[in-house]
Amino acid sequence: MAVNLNTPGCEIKERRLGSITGYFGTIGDMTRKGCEGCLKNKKRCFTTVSQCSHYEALGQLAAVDDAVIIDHAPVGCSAGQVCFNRIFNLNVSKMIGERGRNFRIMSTDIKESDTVFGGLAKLRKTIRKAYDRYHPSQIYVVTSCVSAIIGEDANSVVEEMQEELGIPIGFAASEGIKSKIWASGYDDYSHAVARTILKDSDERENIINYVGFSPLGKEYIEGFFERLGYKMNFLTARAKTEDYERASKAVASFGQCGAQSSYLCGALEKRFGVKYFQSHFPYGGIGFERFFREVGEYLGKQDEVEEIIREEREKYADRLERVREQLKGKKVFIALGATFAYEYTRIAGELGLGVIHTVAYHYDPRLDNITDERVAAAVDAIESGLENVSTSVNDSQQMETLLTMRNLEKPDVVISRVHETAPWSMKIGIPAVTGSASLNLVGYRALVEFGERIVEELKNKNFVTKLGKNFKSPFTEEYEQLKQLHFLQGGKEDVE
Amino acid sequence: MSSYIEKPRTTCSLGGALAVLSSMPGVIPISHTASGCAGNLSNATAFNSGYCGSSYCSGQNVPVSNIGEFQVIFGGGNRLKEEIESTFELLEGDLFVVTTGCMTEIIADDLYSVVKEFEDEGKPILYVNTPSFEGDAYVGYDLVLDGIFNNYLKPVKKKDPTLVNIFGVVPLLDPFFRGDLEEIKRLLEKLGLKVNTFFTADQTFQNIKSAPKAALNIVLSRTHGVKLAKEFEKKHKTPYLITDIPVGAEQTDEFLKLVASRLDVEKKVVNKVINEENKNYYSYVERLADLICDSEFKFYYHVVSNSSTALPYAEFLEKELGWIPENIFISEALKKRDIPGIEEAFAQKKLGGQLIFEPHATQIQRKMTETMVRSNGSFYQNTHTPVYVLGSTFEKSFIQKSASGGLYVSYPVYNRVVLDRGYAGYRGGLHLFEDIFSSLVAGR
Repeated sequence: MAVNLNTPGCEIKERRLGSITGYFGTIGDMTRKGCEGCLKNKKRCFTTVSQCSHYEALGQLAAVDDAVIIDHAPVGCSAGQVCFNRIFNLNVSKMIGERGRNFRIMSTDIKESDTVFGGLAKLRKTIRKAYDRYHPSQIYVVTSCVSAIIGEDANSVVEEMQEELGIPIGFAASEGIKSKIWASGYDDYSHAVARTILKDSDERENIINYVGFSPLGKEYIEGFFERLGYKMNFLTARAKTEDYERASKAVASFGQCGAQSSYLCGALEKRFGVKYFQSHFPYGGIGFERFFREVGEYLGKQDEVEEIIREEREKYADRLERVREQLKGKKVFIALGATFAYEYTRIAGELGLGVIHTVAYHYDPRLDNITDERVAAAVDAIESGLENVSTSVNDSQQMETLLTMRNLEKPDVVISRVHETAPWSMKIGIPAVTGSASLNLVGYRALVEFGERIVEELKNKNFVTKLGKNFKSPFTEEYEQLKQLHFLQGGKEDVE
Repeated sequence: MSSYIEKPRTTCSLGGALAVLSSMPGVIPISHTASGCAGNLSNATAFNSGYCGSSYCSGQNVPVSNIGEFQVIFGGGNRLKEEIESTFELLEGDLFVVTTGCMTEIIADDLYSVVKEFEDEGKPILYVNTPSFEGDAYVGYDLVLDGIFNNYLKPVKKKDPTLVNIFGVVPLLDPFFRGDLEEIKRLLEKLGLKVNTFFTADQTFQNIKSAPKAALNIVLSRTHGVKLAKEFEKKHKTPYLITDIPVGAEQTDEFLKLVASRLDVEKKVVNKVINEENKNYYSYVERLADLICDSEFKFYYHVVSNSSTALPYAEFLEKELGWIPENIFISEALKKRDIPGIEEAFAQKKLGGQLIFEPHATQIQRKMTETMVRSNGSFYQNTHTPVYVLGSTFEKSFIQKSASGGLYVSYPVYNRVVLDRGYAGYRGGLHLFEDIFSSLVAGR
C-alpha cells in the first residue's frame, strides 16, 4: 500500500513498506530478501527503550513555520521536546539568520479522570486558547496512545474547530503504540502537512524540493543545482508556509533519507506528479555521482553534470588520497538510522575503512515512490561490494548494540549519532565520531572532510581510553561468558 | 476539568520515577510501557538538566517491555514476565523496580501476580504504579521512593541515633541534586551524623537498605518527599523534619541548628562548625565588595524555580546579596493542597516581593515584563531596573531581551553543564555568588 492522503491517518511503515526492526545477518542477505518481499521481522526476549512516533511527529510539526501544536496527551509525552526545540528550532534559526523562538506546544495534560470522562472538551478549549494567544497561520493536533485507546474522535473536533476559527488545522494520528518504528512519526508529520498546507498548482518552476531535518550543510549542494539552473526549496525545520505551498510547483524532490523524507516526497509525487529521486542519495563520492547522473538525465543536463563530477573528483583527489593513506587498516563500527547506516557503510568503504558491523535502527525494503525503481542503499550495497558486511537491525536497542560491539572484533572508531551508541562506545574506550544526518555529507568534499574528522579523532584518544579503564559492564558475569551478539529469539519469526 | 500546560517544566510520574531510579546505585528500572515512553523521558532529562547524561541502565538503556497494539488487546503480562526473566539473567543489579506507563495502566495488566512470582523465588523486585496521568515527575519521585522505602524495605527494631536520610531533592528535576546533596552530607557529617543521600557517587545499595534504621528523615522541600516521609514514619517509626534546602551562610546556620536540636547534637559542636564555616565563607565574600561597589551591582530580581528551591534562592538574593525582590514564581503545577505550605514558608521567612504560582512559560514572561516601568523621560523616575533573573533556560529570551543578567538554575537547564556544582550550604552559597557575578562580568 502506498501513500494514501484520503484518510485522516497514515499507514505505518511496517504495513506500508514491510519495514522491520529485528534482523541479524549480512547486508547481502537482508537486501536480497527485502527485494523479494520475504524479509520477516524477529522479536526479542529482552528489549530496552526506544523512541516513539508520537515524539518524532511532535518535533517535526513544531518546527513548521509559526504553527502551534496541541499535544492531546498526558504531560510527559511532550516533555522530551525541549531537545528538539534546540536542534530543530533554535539551531536552525541561527543557521538561517532568524531570531529563534521557542517551540509552541500546548499539552492538554490528560489526567486519569479525562480517560474516564473524555478529553474532547479540553481539546476544544486548548485549541481556542492556542488561537487566542498566538493567532498562528496553522494549528496541528497530535493524538497519543492514551487519547487513542480511550477512543477519542479528535479528528472531528479538528474539523469542527477549523470551521470555527477559519484557519487550517491539521491532524496527526500519532500514537506511539501504533508502530515499533519511531520513524513512522515522520510519516504522520508528512501526512498532516500534505493534507493541510500543500497546495495545488498548474505552474512548474525550476525548483527542487529537499525534505529533511534541517538545511544544515546546504552549501554542499545548492551551488550544483544552481549551475544546472535550479533553486532548492527546503522543506525542513523552520520552513515557511510559502515553502510548503511552493513545493507542488517543483520539478522534482529528494530527501535526506528514506526514513524521514520518503512519505512527503512520495505524497508530492502522487498528488502533484513531482518526480521523487529515491534510488540514490548524494552522499560521499559514489553516491554523489550516481545521484547527479540520475538528476542530469531527468533534467536533460547530462553534460553539465559530467563536468561537475569531473571537477569535484579532481578538486579533492589529493586530499582523498592522503586521508585514505592515514586511515589504512582502520576499522569502524556503525550504528545509525535506516538509510544513513548503509550510506555511511558505503562511505567507509570509499575511505578504505574496514566495516566490522553496521546497526540500522530499522530497515525499509522499499520507499514511497509510485514507480518500481531500485531502492536506495539496498542495491547500492551489493554493487559496492558490501554484500558480506555483517549487519543487524534494532530499534535503537542500545544494550544489544553494546553486546554486538563488545563481542565482535574491537573497532578503531564508532560512527553513530544520538540514541546512546556513541556514549557506550566511549565508555568502553572506543572513540566515536558523529555520523551527521544532513546535507554536509554530500559529495567528495564531505567524503574527504569526514575522513579527516576520523583522522583527527584518532590523534588523541586519552579521554576515551581513561573512560574505558573505568568501565563497569552492566551484564552479569555468566552472560559475559556467553559472548552472544543479539537478543533476537532463535528462529521464531513473527510479523506482528 | 484540569487545564492545559504550556511548555511544561516537568515530565510525568514515569519520568520522575525513572530519573530517581537511574540515579540510585545498584537499582535497575524495568519499564512496563510502550517503546517510546522511557526514551522520550530520558531525552527530557539527560540533555536538559545540565547535560546530566545517562548512566548504568538508565537513559536509552532502560529495560522496557515495549508493548504494542498486540499487547493492548491481549494483555502485556506475558511480555513483562519475559522481560523480567531476561533482565535477571542479563543485568547485574541489587534491586529491580518495575514501573508502569499510561497504556499498561489503562489496559490494567496484573502486575501484582507477575511480580509476585519473582518475589516468591526470592528475587529482589518490586513494582510501582507510575502512569503519566497520575501526576508530574515530582509525584513520580514520591511514588517510587514510597515503593522502595515503605513497601519493599522491612521495618527494623534498632535505630541508629546518628543516621539520617535526606529526601526532597529530586534527581534531575533539581539539576544540582548531586552537588547539593554532597554539601548537605559534608555538613551533617561534621556534626557527627551519618547521612544517606541515596543519589551521590559515594552511595551504595547498603545505604538504601540501612534507611529504616535512620533516627530522622530530613525533607529539604515543602512539597516533594513530604508524603513519603509521613508514610515512612507510619511504617518505620522514623520522625521527619520538613524544612527548606539551605542556600548560603545564613540559611545554613539555621538549618544546622534545627537539625542539631532534633538529634541532640551538642550546641558546642554545632557552634564550632558554624563558626568555622562562616569564617571560611566570609573570607571569600568580603573580597567581593570591591567588585560590587565598583560596578554598582544592585538589581531587582525575579526567581523562577520549583517549589523546593524558589524560596531559598529568593531568600539568598534578598538577605545575602541585598537585592530588591520583585516576583518569586513557583513554576511547577502544584496540587492545591501544597500551596498553603509554600505560602506559610514565604510568610515565615518574611520575604519581600510577590509569590506567584505560575506554570505557564509565557505568563511568567508577561508578569516579569509588567514589573518594569516604561521610562517617562524623567531622570528621577524609578523604572524598576536593572533586572536580574534566576530561572530556567526557558527564561533565556526574556533575560537576553529585557534583563541585565540572569543565571540558569532550574529545570530545564540546557545552556550550561552541571557536574558536582551545587548551591546548597556554605560552599553552595559561594558558588552562587561566583556564578551570579561571573554572569555579570562575562561580557567584559
